[in-house]
Amino acid sequence: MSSNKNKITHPALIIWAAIIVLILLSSVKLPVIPYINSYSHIDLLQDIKADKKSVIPIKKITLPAGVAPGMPQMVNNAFDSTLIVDYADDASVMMQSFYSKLNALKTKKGKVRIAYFGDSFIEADYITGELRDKLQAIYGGSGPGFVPMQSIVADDYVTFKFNSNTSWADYNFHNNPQKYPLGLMGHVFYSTGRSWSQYSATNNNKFKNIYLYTGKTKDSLASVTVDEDDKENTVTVNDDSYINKTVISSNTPVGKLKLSCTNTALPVYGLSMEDSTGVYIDNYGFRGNTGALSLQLQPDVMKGFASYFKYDLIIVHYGLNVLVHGDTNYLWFDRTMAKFIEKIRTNFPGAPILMIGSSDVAYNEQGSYITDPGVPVLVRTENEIARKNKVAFWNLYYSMGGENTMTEWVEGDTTFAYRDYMHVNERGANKIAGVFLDKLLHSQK
Amino acid sequence: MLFAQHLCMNFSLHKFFEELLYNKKDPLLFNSSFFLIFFALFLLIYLALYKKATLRLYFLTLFSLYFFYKASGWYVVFILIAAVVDYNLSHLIYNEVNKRKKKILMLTSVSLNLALLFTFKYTDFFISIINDVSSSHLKLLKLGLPVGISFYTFENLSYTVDVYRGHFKPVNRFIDYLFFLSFFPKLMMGPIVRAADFIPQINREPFVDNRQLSEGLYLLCSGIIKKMVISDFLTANYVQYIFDGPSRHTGIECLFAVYCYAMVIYCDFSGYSDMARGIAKWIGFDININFLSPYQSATITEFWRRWHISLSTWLKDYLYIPLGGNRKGKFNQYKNLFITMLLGGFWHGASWNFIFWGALHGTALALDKWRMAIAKKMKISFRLPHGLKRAIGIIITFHFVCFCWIFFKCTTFHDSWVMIGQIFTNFRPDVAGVLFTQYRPVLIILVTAFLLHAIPVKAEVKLQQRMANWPLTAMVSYFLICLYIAIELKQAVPIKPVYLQF
Repeated sequence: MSSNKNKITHPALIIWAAIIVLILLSSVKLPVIPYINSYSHIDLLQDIKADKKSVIPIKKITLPAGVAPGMPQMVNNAFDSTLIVDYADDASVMMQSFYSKLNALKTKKGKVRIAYFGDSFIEADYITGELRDKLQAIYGGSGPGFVPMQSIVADDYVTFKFNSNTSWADYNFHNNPQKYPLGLMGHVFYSTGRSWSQYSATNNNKFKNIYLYTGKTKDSLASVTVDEDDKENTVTVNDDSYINKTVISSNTPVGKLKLSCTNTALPVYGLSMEDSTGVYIDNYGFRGNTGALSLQLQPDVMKGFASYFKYDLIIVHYGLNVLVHGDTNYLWFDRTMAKFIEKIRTNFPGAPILMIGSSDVAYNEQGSYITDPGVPVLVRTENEIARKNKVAFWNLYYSMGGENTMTEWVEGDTTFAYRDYMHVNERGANKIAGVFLDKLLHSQK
Repeated sequence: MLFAQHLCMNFSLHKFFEELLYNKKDPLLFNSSFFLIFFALFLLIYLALYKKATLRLYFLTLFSLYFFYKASGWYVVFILIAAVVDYNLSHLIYNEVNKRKKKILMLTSVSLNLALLFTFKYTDFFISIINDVSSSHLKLLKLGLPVGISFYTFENLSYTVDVYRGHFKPVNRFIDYLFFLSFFPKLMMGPIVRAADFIPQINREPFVDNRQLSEGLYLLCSGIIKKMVISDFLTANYVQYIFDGPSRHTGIECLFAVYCYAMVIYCDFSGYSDMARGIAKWIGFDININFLSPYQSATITEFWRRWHISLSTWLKDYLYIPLGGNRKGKFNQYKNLFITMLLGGFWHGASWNFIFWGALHGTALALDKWRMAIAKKMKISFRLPHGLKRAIGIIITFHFVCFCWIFFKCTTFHDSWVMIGQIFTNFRPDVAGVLFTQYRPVLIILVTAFLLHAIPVKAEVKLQQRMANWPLTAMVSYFLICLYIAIELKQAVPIKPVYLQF
């Protein structure tokens, strides 16, 4: 063995041989490593090449200050607008009818209610929470509106403190073998015998009226135990309709509510905390939803809730789960949304519908995060869906700053989004709510 | 011809020179393609010079300082200042006969070094504590941490303390000291090298035998795979966003993220150490081992003999023993262990999370020592087969270490408890199917990493011995395969993160 010879030249030989082979390989196609989605070519000299290719040309968009309000419905294509653009042609379901109702609150007492359908982007009352607070500060109202019995993101709620013993059986869009009628949020909860949920008001903003929403049960004497600020009583649940509303407390400000249920046959949808006047936004976020899951909602359930909630605006906001990197065929999404919009129209007649386009999503392109090329295509598709189906549209992607905004929101000194380059954090959600409110107010002048 | 044309068309001289300057957004690390080319060019010059002792020394030192500049910009000045101060102080200490004065000089060196470290690493932490306690609004300095400062400060400290203790005579040439401090492979992330081990190698003509060559290759490749294939992939495709918002993920996702992170932190850190040792071996230097398959440990005491060895032995020699070690009774030994680990935790970063992490390890080490003492005294021994006993020990130790990693990785204390809460109260085993379908590549890489980690150390040594007999072509192929996998993974389209459905 020649181990006593100095092989100090060998490392250089190994490295140079490897570099030369790798450079040669960069011009040929290589087998792709399974499961990894790797490219079929390698690029060793990426750092010192003339241009690092960007998939889409960088076009920075800044929010125009003081946008002229104008008549929103006169804008033909909403893609390049930060305003809410209305494609509806029937005056009764135009955004203007919503704006009028909203403005009327300034002079006379009344209630304006908004349903916000979405995905994980709005979970834990993100966006809706801040928007509701701001709208209530202007137009009155107090309370978060509809709330579920249990949530995986209960800890993230800031509009009120929410916890439960997580023992509710949760049947939902993904897990519903018995085909129970699901609530608007996509869930129905059944007690496992000892289930409870607790809600505490924050900022001294006590709950004025509390209502419970339940389904049909064979047990006509079903009841729940309510503990309001440590005063316990039992409330018998109404059972005369398909969807039932039971008054838990009325005109008595409650700081902390604990609701327990031992009846395992009672379908519980959730509660609503609200005042008799003002603005309310019900958050119907269901993670993983492309919008297709919402088609499972039964017309009777929708009608049942519609009779209590009387929505003045329905917001539909999907996109994160529709986006698949490298696939921009959104034909199925177009069809799904058309069906869902139709379903909303049938079951919530008279309510204007506003579609919010997808937010920015970044993906890792060889080490740096840039906007997924599918995002602008998806947003254009959503704009087209809104136009074809004659509903209003708001381009969130454009309004939040356009291309590569998500990267800035994640990597900037102040973070507005999580490191999945997809979901906003509380700060980001509040920022979006602020921009959205600004657009709502501009559009109603 | 086609290749040359391809290269010329794409190559930009401007871009090349731009790469030579420090870029804050893209500091130089071993795992960049630029470093590979940079190192290849370095080797050519090194080969031309290595026989000329002084030239070699100056070249290596200048290259190291440039490397440091590429990695952290003008903070390179601090290493020069530190070298000047400690070189002179060490001589003053050595030549001083008066014991008291000798001690004062040594303490001056210790204070200066710690002051430098404190200024950059801990000022903002203490400012925020003052702000919290007194409701004042002092502005944070946001100085930024000079790369490697925690490592070279400790090297400086051990050097002057060893000179003070009379363990060795300080080096006679400043350049020798500067070289010891700035030697590029270990400069940024260790291992923490001791002068007594390194200085004798400085003026020796570098010699790379078959064994040194194969060990270098093995370490370099293992470092590349650990850092670029395992750690970077798991981080980018899973770990970073679960830890970013644990409250938005189920317990099973969080637990899987903790397991992934255990592998990420090990591969990141030990991968870098491996690369440092491999590069050093290839240019004829030996750097001490830093990790020894730590997750194979059956007790926490064993874990700290295998994890970041250069730090744990440093802490033992310069903190635990001066505190009294095990010399003043059992209670004091436990107390000293706890204090050492608490400060060790604080060394890792300026936050309560790191302090708590250190405290957890300190408590566990003290309890383990106590357990051993009791077992010895009472002659307690569980009648279990050795293999089974060890396996149970490994599982318990690994899970304790993982539990501590939660505090190490989470940005805030609150997030750490949220994550633990999700794991224990919101586990949701029903989503396992969706989780592992969505993140199959992550699972495959994690399982492979654990299987590789389970290879006994003896088998690794055997493999390195065998590699020593490989022909050069086999070595080139092995290196190429590792590089190819690493580059492919770096370029791979990342997995789209999803919030698991439920």
